[in-house]
Amino acid sequence: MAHAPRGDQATPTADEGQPTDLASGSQTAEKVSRLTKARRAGATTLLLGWLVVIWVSFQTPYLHTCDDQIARVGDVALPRSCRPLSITDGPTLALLVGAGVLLFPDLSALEIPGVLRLERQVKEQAKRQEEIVAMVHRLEVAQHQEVNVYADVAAADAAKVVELAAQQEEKRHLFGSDA
Amino acid sequence: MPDLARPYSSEAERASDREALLVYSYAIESLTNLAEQPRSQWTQEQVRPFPSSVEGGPPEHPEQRLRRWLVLYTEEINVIRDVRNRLVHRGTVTDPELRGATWIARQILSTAMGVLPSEVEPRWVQTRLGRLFVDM
Repeated sequence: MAHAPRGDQATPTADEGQPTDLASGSQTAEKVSRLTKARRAGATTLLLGWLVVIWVSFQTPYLHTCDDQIARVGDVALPRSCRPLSITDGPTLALLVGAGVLLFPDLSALEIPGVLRLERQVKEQAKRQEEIVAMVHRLEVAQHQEVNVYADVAAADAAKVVELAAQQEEKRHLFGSDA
Repeated sequence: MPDLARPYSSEAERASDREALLVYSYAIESLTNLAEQPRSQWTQEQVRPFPSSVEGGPPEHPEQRLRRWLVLYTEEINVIRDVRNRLVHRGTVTDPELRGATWIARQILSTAMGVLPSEVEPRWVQTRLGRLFVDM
């Protein structure tokens, strides 16, 4: 059984039926996998067909593109002028465009200049997001510790004030007798 | 001694103690400065508010009295100064701290001036000691 990518897996919860979610996730992943294989096979077929068409066009008298031309010499009024298919001719262009369309999802995820940079940006963004989450966590911890420190200091200060207050009667007496 | 750990019942009560502590703190700082002033520079206006001696004791110049007072109450003065600074600069001051610092300030001011603590009120400090500070 093919493993689903992490992002495609359903997140199970305590209340939901965990096996059912996992099973539906696996089925979806299998469908995606089959579609991808079919798409790539189609693209490969089209590219091979393009090569065959080009080869036949250049090596044989078949699959040529012909134009009618007005005769400048001779008896035939409209002689035909034929040549092999070029890359800009309709049939070959259609094959290439078809292959390109079928391969577009792969290319967008891999090696088209600019789009590859986009994928890298997504990775960097995810990394940055993780850093921010970690930073927020550290700040929360530090803030919690700071609050605790403030609470401890305030409690110590209050205790000192109370302690000093308790000494006042004695100190007043001491001040009067110390002159 | 009152229950210093008791929280204030209202914001007005806390504000009242806050204002009182600021007045007391200013008076204490002024007395601290006065204690450093040489006896020869004391004016009659400055000498008059102080008792001439402790009860049953020998005559004592206020400068000597304040020096003894300063030595005995250094810790209290530092605490009052700390609480006052935190109040002014929006620091955290708990109710017990404010209540205790205000109460201590009244105690040590009454000792310095030779009166009962119950006499020491913000208005009394301003009228009785105001003149003293102006002359400094």
